[in-house]
Order: sequence, then C-alpha cells, then structure tokens
Amino acid sequence: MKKYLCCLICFLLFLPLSAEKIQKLSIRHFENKIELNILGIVCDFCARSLEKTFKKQKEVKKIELDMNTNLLTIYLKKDMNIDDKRLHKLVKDAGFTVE
Amino acid sequence: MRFIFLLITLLFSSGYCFASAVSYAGGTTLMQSHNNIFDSVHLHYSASSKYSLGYRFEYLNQKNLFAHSMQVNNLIFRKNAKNYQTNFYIKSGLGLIHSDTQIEPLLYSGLALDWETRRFYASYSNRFYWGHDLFSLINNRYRLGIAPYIANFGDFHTWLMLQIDHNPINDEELIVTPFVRLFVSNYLLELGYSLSESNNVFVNFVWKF
Repeated sequence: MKKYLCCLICFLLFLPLSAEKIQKLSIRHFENKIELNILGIVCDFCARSLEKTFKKQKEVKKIELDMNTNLLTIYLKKDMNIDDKRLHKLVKDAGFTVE
Repeated sequence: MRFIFLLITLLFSSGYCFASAVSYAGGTTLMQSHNNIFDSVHLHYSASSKYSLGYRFEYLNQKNLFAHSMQVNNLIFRKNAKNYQTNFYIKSGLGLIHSDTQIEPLLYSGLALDWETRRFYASYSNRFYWGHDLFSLINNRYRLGIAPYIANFGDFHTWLMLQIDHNPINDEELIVTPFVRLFVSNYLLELGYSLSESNNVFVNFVWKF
C-alpha cells in the first residue's frame, strides 16, 4: 500500500512538469503529420518560402501555416516521415528558425 | 529600342523596392520597379537563404541611360523572433551603363536594414551608384508602414506605407512617396504617387517562384 502511495505521489508531482515539457516541444510528430513552431513568421509573402521549400519534398502532401500561432503543419504522404534534423535544415533553408 | 526596354519593364517585373533581397534556397524572384529615377527589372536566384545572384536592367528615365549589371545580395544578419523579424543585407553590383554614344563601367553598393512585425514595418537602405562620367547617385531610403488589419497566411494583405528618398547629390534632394503595398500568394504590388517634379507614378511588382 505504501509503495502504491509513493508511486501515486511521485506521478502527481511530476505530471505537471512532464506536461509542460511536452507543450514546449517545438516539433511534434503525429501519424501522417508534423507540427512545428516557427520563429519570424510576420509576413505572408516571406512565409511563402516555407510552402515552396516543403512542397518540394517527396514526403510532403501539403502544408498549413497559422500566423496567429506561428504553427506550421506538414501533412505527410502515407508511411513517410521527415526527421527533426532535416526539418531544422528545411526551415533554415526557407529563411526561418524552429522555435 | 527604348520602347522595348520600357515594355519589358512594364510587362514583367526590382529590386530596390522591397527588402526581399534573398529568397529561399533554390528560389527565383522577379522584380520590377518604376520610380522617378529608374525603371528596372531584376531577376535573381537564391542559392541559399543567405545570398542571391541576379541580372539587373535599369533605364534611367530622366537621363536616357541604360544599365546592365550582375547584382549580388548577401544576408549578413537575420533575427527571427516570435513577433518580429529583422534583417541586414548588403547589395552590390557590377556592370555597364550607356547612352546612345557612350559606354562606361558601372559599380554600385548599399546596405538594407528592416524590422517588421505583423502590424508595423520600418526599413532603411542606401545605395552608392557610380557610372563614371555618365551618372552618379547617393540614395538614402527610409520606409515606414502599418497594416490596417492583421491578415493570416493565404489572405489578401494590405499595408499603408510612406517612403522618403534622400538624394544629396542629385537635382531633387528629397522625394516623399506615399504608397500602398498589396500582396497575396507569391505576388506583391506597390502602388504610389511620388511628390516629385516629374515621373510621379511609383510602381513595384515582385513575383517569387
């Protein structure tokens, strides 16, 4: 009983910390899509570079960009993915920075 | 001949109009500009997001001179922040300037600084233009802008802008140009009216592809 109580307390103590950590991750991988927080998205005309850069990638089906939240969503083709290192490079090539 | 150059300038689309001097890696940009000194067409290719190389044609409409040059734009510094972006570029070109009877070397260089949020825009650029005996120019350009509404990605964007050109060694030392900047997708258009003695129409067009 004591053991379970200890585990429960530890879980409750570390839960907010882990949730905060998850929220702060700037690249989030899901099935068939990736979400990234981008810095420097202030101009639609300049942000077109992100669209151009990502649409050239064979893994990418389409992208969506929300300038209010600086959120770039990359929709992937079936069973395809792009690793974080390449995502950073592609965002840099477009002239921006991953948060 | 002049008519053909003017036609090309008007039909297609430069460079000193918009601080988008470097595009994305592998991107090409076509820019056209018409103001009270120059009609120009500038086509540049960005090998990376740090520099671009391009060809620039200019017709100096008050002097009846033509200029052809290769221009290199370097992004020296960029700060991407959550709510703003700031850039520092150096732009330089080398080519030839000619009249109907005379041809001379042409050199120019300048820097460009800009700071932009989704609501406000401010920039400063300068250009030192040396065409030997034919034409020389020192230009300081200041721009301020405000977006009357905040638009999202894919929307139609409108900016109200004010441009002040200071040309200390030229006939008209100070030229004020209020203009409107409109953009949607990969197309940007600036339309204004210069408070100058002649050639008041101000048009810039940029196409990124």
